[in-house]
Amino acid sequence: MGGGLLALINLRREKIALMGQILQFLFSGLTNGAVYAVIALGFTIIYNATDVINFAQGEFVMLGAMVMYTFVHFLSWPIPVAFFATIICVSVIGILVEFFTIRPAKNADIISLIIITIGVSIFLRGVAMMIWGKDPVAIPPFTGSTPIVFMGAAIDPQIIWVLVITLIAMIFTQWFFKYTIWGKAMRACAVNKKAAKLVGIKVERLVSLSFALSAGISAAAGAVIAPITFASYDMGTMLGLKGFCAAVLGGLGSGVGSILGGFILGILEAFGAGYISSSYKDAFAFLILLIVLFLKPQGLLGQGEVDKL
Amino acid sequence: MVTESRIEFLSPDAWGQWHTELLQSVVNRVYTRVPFYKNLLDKEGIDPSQITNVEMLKLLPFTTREDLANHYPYDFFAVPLRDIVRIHTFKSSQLSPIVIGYTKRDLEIRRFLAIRAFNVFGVRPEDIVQICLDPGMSMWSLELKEAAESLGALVIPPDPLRAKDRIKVMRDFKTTVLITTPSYGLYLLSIAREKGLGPRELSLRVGIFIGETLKDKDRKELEKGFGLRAFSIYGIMEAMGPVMAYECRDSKRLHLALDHVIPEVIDPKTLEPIFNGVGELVITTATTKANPLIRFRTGDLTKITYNVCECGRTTWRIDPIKGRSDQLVNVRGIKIDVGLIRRLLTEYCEGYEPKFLFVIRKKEFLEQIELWIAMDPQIFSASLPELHLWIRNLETKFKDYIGISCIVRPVEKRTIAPFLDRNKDIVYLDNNEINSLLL
Amino acid sequence: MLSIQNLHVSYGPIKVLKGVSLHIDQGEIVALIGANGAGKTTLMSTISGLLRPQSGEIKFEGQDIIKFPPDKIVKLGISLVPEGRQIFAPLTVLENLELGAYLRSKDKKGIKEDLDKIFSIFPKLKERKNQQAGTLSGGEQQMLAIARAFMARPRLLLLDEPSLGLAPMVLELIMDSILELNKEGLTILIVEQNAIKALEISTRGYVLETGRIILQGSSNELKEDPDVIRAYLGKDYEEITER
Repeated sequence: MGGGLLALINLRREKIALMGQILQFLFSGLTNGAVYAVIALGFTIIYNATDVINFAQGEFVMLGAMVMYTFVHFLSWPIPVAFFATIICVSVIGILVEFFTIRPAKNADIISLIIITIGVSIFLRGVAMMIWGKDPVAIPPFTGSTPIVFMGAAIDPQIIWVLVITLIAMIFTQWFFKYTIWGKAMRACAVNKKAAKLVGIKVERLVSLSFALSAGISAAAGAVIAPITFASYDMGTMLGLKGFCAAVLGGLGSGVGSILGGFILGILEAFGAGYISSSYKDAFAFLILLIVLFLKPQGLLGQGEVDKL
Repeated sequence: MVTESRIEFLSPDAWGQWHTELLQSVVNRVYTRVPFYKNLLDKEGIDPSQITNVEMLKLLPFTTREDLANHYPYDFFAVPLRDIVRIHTFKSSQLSPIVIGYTKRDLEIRRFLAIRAFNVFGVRPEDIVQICLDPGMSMWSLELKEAAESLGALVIPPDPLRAKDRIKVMRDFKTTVLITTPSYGLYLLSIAREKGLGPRELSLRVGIFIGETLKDKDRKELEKGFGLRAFSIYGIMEAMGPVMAYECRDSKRLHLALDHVIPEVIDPKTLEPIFNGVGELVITTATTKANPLIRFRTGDLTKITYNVCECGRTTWRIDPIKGRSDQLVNVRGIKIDVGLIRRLLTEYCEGYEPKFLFVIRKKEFLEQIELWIAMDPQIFSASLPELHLWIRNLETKFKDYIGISCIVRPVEKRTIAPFLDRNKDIVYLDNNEINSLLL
Repeated sequence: MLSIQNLHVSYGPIKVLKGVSLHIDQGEIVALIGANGAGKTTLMSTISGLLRPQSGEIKFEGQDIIKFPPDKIVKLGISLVPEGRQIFAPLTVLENLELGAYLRSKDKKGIKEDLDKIFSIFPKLKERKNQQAGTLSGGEQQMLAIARAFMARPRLLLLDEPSLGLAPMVLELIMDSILELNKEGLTILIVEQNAIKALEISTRGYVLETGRIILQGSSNELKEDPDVIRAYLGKDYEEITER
């Protein structure tokens, strides 16, 4: 494969400046990667709190985009207001999802709970289709659309926004886990639920919180990426799967791992699509996942309890 | 924190908790360790966990003195003999004697109960404690002596002295605490009076009366005559020892050792619990290790008072014993089983059971017992010396068997018939009645 | 302070506790001793709300707490130091302690005071406060577990097998610190397989045997009780007539 790649690069060298192209791919990879990373983080947060893999994670991204669209388009709210309102709104939806689906079934086994989340994902997608229709919708970019030219590559300013906001989301998440008592409680919960209960942590409340947090950061990702990709009721499915791949890639349960996994996945995908064929774009993610799972089943950073989050 | 000295002042709620715990643990213990109770509970289909509180005691079967004798030797033991440091044996109306073992801790508890009462009575290490009890009550003497000794008091245990000499010792050694039965106390008092000794000449301060009920009249007499403060104590030797209950300074009722026994009062006929009335005292020994007893029927009739005493103690109190519910007769503190007398007679007459009447007569403060036997051809002998020998041998045998001397008197059948017709084989008679009957 | 009556607890079809009653008064150290599988840990888990009993009554200062969730029980003032420590291994020592004070995390001043108090009782923990708890030695982890429970400012501390897997020297240290906490006014219920050790520091004790309490009394008398000693040494008698 390496040989093929080189040949491909040589073929195109004459047409475009190599540097600019690599940067182009890199930026689109980073953008996608950042979104995957945030979604993977969302998976990780809920997984650590409940041991459940929430397959409705992608739907939170979709809801982020759709709700943002509604606020901007129908209510004409300014972008910053709409953006924060979106995050709050989807967080509340996250809490409701947990309250009405996961909590009533808390004595069920994990597999049943995972199937419930798949049901939730189908349900949310259906509702979104009923509300917003099947056609993709556009959200205006946050700060115009004049590309920024950087070392021969034209970069959409929204990409900067994506990178900045996802970065903020990641930093916020890490800060939350490291420095707030709830964050510490959630880590404690992830390590030892029984001991967590014994220090007086209300595990149910933390599970709600984890759904809110996870839905909130996913919504932020959805809202910020929508101006680039358009938004549609079914955009969440593929994003959710990619995010899941990233989370597994990084080692399920590890926060840093999932961020890393997201970026690796995004960048490889971008280069693969650019240099090999864009029609295999989606296959790359799963191919990488399979390779990693064969070679290092616990994921890149999954090393058991100690490195969780 | 409840220390041993505070436990008698626990709140009623706290007693409920203690008793539930004590009862459950003793039931669990006997169920797993004592063959007699294990079989009994299994037979009755009772699981220990059904005993959820003290009221549930009523589910459990009773234990009688006959049970104790019939399951001689080991069926009542909850610990191996290795843990036992003393064994007492008791006469019984059955084929075997009653055997009760004590672990070191059991003896400590008995001693502790005695010392606790002594402290309330104001017995101090400086005191000189004289114990005057019949040899038939040697077990009582032994335990009270040990308790008084470990308190640091000087103890004069019962020696085979005449009453006169006992009074002499009492005067010359300045005895301050007298432990005796009410009847023997009165007897001693009469002798002291004969010798012109009163409160002035004697140093007595405290009188501790056991074995019999201390009547108000006798109490006054003893307190005045000896110049002491009288307290009575109650106990039974099979369980919990001599001081299962004691009189405090504020009440004539006796405080039960509620931290070690769970008492009940039952109707001796229907066997139903009685909560506010006189009945037979039944006790469950909760802390006893060697031979814990469940619902042991004491045979003593009394009433339990549940409210708080003026002294502040919340331990339940019993009235002075009002009598016996069974065939046991209390003579000078010694319990005599009429069934045992019947067995003795049958044995003595080689299988034939003569008609008899057991007579307790008041004589010089002390009760004297007599056995009136109806003459009939089976035991009649024409030779007077032979008859005398027959009587003498029976008296010796009685003393040996029952532990107290008795006068055997052959009588005509019609003398005792009126009593026997009314199903009475024990009667209390005074001298005049006896004289008129025998004339 | 705490009174339990007729507690029945089952794991599925297996009855673990069959009508247990016991109580603890303010200021006491009460030891609950018994062999493995007697139900000691089950009792502790039930008091702290982790397990639901079939029936029975648990009252803390007169209040029925049997249906309370663990957090409410911690809030009322009962903290459990679970068997096998159960510290949060990837978190730092300090984070573990902060989580101990989870329910009063706004009381920064109080937490600071309690941390100082804990660090004076367990100076080792102060040395290692920024270390991951999982890297501590067994004894230090036990100290941390006790300290974490203490941070909730309990009035009743439940200690489940604090001696488990500790070297004798470390054990002494732990027992001393338990006594120290008791002097600070903490009432303590300690569950131990190491009966003699537990009876040495406690005022009263209960002996649990296959889900039932078969004996109780002051620790001094239990320590000398032949049954307890036999159970401790794992020797039983075969014949009642043995001497």
